[in-house]
Amino acid sequence: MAKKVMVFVIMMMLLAFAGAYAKGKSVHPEKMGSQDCMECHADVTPEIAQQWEHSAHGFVGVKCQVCHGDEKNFVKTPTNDTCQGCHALQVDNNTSPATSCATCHKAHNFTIHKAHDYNPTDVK
Amino acid sequence: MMNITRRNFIKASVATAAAASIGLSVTPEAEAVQAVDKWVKGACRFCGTGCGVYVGVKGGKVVAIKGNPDAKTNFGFLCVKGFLAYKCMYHPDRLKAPMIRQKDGKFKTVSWDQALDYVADKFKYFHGKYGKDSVAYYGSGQCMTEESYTFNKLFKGGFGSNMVEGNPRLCMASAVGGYMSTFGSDEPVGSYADIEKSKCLFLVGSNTSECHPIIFRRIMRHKMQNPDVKIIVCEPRKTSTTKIADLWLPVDPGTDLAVFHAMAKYILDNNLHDEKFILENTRITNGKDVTDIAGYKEFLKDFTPEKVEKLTRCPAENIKKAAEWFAKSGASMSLWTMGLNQRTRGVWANNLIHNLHLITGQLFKPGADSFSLTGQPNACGGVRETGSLCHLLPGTKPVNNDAWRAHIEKEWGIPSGTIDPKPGFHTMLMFDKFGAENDASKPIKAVITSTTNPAQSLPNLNKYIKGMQDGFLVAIDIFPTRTTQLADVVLPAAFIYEKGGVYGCSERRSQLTEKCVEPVGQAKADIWIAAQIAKRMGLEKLIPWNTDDVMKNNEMAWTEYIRVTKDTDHTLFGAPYSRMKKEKAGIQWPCPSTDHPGTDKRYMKGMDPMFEHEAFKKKFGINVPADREYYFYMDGKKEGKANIFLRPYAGPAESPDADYPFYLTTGRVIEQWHTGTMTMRIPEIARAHPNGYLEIHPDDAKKYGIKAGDMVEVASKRGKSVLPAHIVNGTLPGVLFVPWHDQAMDRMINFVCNDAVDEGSKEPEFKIAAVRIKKISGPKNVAEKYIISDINSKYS
Repeated sequence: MAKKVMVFVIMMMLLAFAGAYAKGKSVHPEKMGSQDCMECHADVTPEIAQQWEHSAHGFVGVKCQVCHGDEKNFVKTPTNDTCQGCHALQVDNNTSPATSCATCHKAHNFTIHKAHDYNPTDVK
Repeated sequence: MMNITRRNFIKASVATAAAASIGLSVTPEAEAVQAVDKWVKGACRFCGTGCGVYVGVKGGKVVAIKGNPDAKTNFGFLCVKGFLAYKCMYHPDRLKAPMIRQKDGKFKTVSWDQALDYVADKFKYFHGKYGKDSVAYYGSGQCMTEESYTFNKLFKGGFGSNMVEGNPRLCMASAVGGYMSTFGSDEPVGSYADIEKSKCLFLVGSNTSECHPIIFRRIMRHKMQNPDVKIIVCEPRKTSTTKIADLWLPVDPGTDLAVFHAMAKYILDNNLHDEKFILENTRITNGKDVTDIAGYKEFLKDFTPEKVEKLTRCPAENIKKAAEWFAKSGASMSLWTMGLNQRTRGVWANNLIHNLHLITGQLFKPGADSFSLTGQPNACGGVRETGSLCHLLPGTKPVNNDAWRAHIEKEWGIPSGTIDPKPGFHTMLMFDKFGAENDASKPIKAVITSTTNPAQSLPNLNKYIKGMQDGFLVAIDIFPTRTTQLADVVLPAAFIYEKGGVYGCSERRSQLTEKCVEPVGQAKADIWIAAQIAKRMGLEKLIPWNTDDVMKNNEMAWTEYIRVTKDTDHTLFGAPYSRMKKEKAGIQWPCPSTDHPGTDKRYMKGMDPMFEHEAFKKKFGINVPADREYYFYMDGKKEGKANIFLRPYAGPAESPDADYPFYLTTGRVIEQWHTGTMTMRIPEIARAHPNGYLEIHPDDAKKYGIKAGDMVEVASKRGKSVLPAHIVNGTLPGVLFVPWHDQAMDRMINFVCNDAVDEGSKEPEFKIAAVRIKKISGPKNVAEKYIISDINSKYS
C-alpha cells in the first residue's frame, strides 16, 4: 500500500512539474503561507539550506526569495535578469546569453566562497 | 498505511524533482535578459553605503535595477533592499493626489493649488500670530541634497527660523559630534577603499552584515582572501556579522566606554602606542585642560581589563587580545553605526574609538581609519553637509558662528541679521514643544515632515503622539503611514527615480541620480513643493527653482549649494551637474575644482587639496606649517591637532533594576528599511520578516516559562509591546532585542524605547531601555505582514 502511495506521489509530482514547464512557468508546490522560506526549507531541503548558508549568498543575506521570488512570481530556476542585479558584467559577458547562469553555476554553492574559509578562533 | 505528513510529502516531491532533473531535461533555458529602453545611472535608495545602480526603464516605467560595476562603493553588487524594494514605487497604495483632512476626520482629495494655498495660508497665520519659530521643518536623510538645502534655506533664510531638523538627529548626530570634537570637522578621514587594505577590522556597535550588507560583503571577501586579517566584533548580540569574526567582545548595552578605555590602557601599559604620532598630531585633554601621556595613563588607571570585565561582562582576555591586535596589526580600521550613536553617551563613545586610532597612529596609512558608517543614504550629503539641522548652516558650520552666518546671508542675498544666531529645537524638543494652537506650553504650532515617519520612529512615542495629533501637521510622503494618520495635510511625493538629485554617502562621496520616469499620479518632487510654498509666501526670489522641470530645479539648487560652500573643507565646487552626470562613481569631497579627482584621505599632505586651497585657508585663518605631514586644519585651537579625550565612564541613562530587570536593544534586519513603509510592500521582503519579534536568551526564556512563539509583553516605564518570542543563543542573557519595522500598534517597539538624549549631540538613546517581560499567551500567528493602506485609518 505504502509503495503504491509513493508511486502515486511521484507520478503526480512529475505531472505537476511537466505541466508547469509546459506552460513555461514555475509553480511552488506548496502554499507558501506567511513565513520565511527557510522555516520550511531548513527541514524539507536541509542539504540545499546548508549549502546556501555556507555560500556567499548565505553570508550576505541573499535569501531564497530574492532569486526564487514569492508565491505569485515564483521561479524554480532564476533567470539571468535576476543574476544581472548583482552580476551585471558577468551577464553581459555571457557568451551564450540564452543559457541560464544557473546551468553552470549550480545552486546553491556557486562560489568559491565557503564557511570553512574562515577559521574563527574565539567566536563559537 | 504509510503516514504521509505535509513535510514528508514535500521532501518526497523535492527528491522526485531532483531525480527528474537528472533523467529528464526539465531545467528551462533562461529567457534572454529583458530588453529595456534605457538604463539610467543613479544611487540606491536605502542605506548609507551609497551603492551605484542602473535603473532599467521600459515604456516609461521602471522595470529593473542592477548594480553599477564601476561604482567604487558596491562594484555592482546590491543587497535585497536595493535589488527588490524599488518595486514599491508601483504599489497600489502610492499616494497620488494632495489631500486635506476635513472636519469629519476624513481626507478629501484636492488640487495642488488648493493644498499649497492652504499650507501657505496656515504658515502665514502662525507666523503672524505666534512668531517665526512657530512653524518647523522635519526632514530626512533620505531626501535629496537639493531638497534638504532648499527647505533649510527657506526656513533659515526666508522665515529667519532655525526650527529645522531631520531624522539624522536620531541616527548620526553623535557621529557628527564625535568627528567635530575630535578632528574639528565632520565625516571620516579615509574611505571604504581602506577596508581592502586593512589588517584588523574593529566592528563595534554595528551589525554590518544586516545593516550595511554590501560593506559587509567587502569585509567578507577581504577576510576570505587574507585569512590573517583579524575581525573583531564588539556588541551585546552575537549577530550574523560574527560569522566571519575572530573575536567577539560581548558587552552589556551602554557599558562599552569602559571597554574602549581598557583597550587604551592595555595599549599604553604595554608600550604599543605610537608616541611620535601622539606628540606631533594630538592633544590629550579632558575638554578643558591639556595633559600628557602620563596624565592619560593616570586617568586610565582604574580601567584594568579585569575590573572592566566585572562592569561590562566583556572577558578581560578578549579585551587584551583586541587591544593587541588593534595596536599591532599595522593597519586597523574601526567601523560603527547606531550601537555607538544612539546613546546618551554617543559622542563620548565616538571620541573613545577615535582615541584608539590616535594613540596607535592608526590613521592616514592605507587600511587605517576611524570610520562611521551612516545609516541613511543621504544623511551625510543631504543633512550634515547642507547643515539642515537646527544648529547648523551649509558647510556643517554652526549658526552661532558670526562670520559664517554673515557669509551665508551674503551668498543668499538676504539682509544681514536675517539668520537667527540661536539654534532652534533639536528633534526631541521640537516634537515635545509641538501641539495645539491653544496650548501655551507648545510654541510650535505647525510642522512639515518630508520622507520620514516620526509617528512610528520617535522613541517614547506615547509622549509625542498627542502633539502631532493636535498641532498642524503636513506630511510629504509616498505611502499612508503612522504619520499621515495624524496629519492635517498629506502631499504625495515623487520617488527618487521619479525626480533625481544627489545623494552623499558615508565616505564623502556624492552621486547624481538622473530622473528616470515621470511620477505616478500627481506626485511631485519635494523640491517643487518647497519652492511652491516659498512662492506663496513671497519668497520666490529666495527659492527661484520653481519650474516644472525637476532636474532643472535640482541643478539650480545644487549649483548654488556648491557655490555657497566653495571655500570650505567640504567643498564640492569641482562637482557641477555637468561633471556629476558623466562621473560613473560620483565624487568624494573635498573636490575644489573640476580637474580635481576627489579626495581619498583627508588631512594628509599630498592627498588633501585643502592644504593648498588659499581661499579656504584665508577664510578660516588657517596656516599649515610646511613640516606637517598631517594637519587637522579645522582644529579650533589652530594647532592642526586632533583631541584625545579623557571622557569619564558613564553608563546608560537607564540600567536594569529589580522592577525592570532586562536590557532592551532594538535595530534593523537586512530586508526591512526603517518603519517598513516601502519594504513591507514587497512580498518577497515582507515574507522574510512578516512581524516584529522578541529575541531572548534560552536561559531567560526558561526562567520565565517562555517557549518559542509564545506571546510576550515587554514593558518599560514608558510603554509596552506584545511580541512573539524568538529564543536565540546569539545574545547575552539579560539582553533582549526587537527589530523596529513592524507597523502594527501592539508591536511598535518605539513606545518602549528611551527618549533621553546625549547632552552634546541631542541624539536619543534608542539602543538601551530597562524593561520587564511577562508571558501573555501561547503562540499566536501574527505573521500578518501588516501595513497601513487606508489613508483614513486611525492611529490605533
